[in-house]
Amino acid sequence: MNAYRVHDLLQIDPAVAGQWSDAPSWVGCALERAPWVVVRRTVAPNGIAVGVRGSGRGRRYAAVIAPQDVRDVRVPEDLIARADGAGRLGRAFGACSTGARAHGLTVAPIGAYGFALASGSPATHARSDLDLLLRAETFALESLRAFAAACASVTSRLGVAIDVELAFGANGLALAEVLAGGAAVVAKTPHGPKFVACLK
Amino acid sequence: MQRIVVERSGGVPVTKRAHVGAVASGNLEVLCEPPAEARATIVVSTSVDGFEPVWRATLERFLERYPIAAAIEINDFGATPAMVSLRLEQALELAR
Repeated sequence: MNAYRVHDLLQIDPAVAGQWSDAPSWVGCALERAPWVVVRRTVAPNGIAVGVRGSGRGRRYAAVIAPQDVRDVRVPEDLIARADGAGRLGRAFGACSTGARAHGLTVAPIGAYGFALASGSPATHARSDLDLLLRAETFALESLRAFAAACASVTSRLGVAIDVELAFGANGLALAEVLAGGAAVVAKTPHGPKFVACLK
Repeated sequence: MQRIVVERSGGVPVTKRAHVGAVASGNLEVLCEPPAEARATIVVSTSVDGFEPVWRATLERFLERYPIAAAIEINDFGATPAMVSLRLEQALELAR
């Protein structure tokens, strides 16, 4: 067990990559450029399951690090204050954040934009979507619907696709799927994807 | 963006149309329809290149386990094989 949650960003010593014998060559380069990794949802009994982001969506490397490898931590909520509204994702985040607050919700940046904010290294490209985390300790379905409508208007105005993960503890649901109202939805869990009955 | 096609002849046709999944990171959409002829055709469009062998293995395993005839379209946004299998089962549940 460790204190970190999925989507937390951890700064590590890039030399740690030297222990990963099966890592492709881009992994070391990516860590030299930005020594940050993202906590994965999977349970790693002997450490922290993390992912390294390379350039391009096919470049993801899964590793396990030890707690002492961690130099610094940014949880998604830490990144809200760092978002300066610059660029297409910055503008989209600002608009979604305002839309969320209007309905009593807080969204935090994850994915490429979250990584860019934490590491200061550009991880986004001209067509990156905006990944948001909405921790759903308590919520009303009506607020979620209103927030989703606000996101849809940001998408049509700014041309940025928005992907909201509704997090329940370590489990995550796609907000769009929850609101689509099917009989069952698929949750991402630390033990793989699972069907859950839909909230009605 | 990569396109992968897997086909297999024969099988029991699905009777209904089903659309499941989500346009979201690490997720996928599956559209399943009754086929024009008695064969299973699965067409994958994925945003992540370089995983064709994994796709083929996952889809072959699905068709092995469920010998259906259907026209299936998958739009993938970097889902894991476990997520892909679950979504295919979810679509099949609604389509047959």
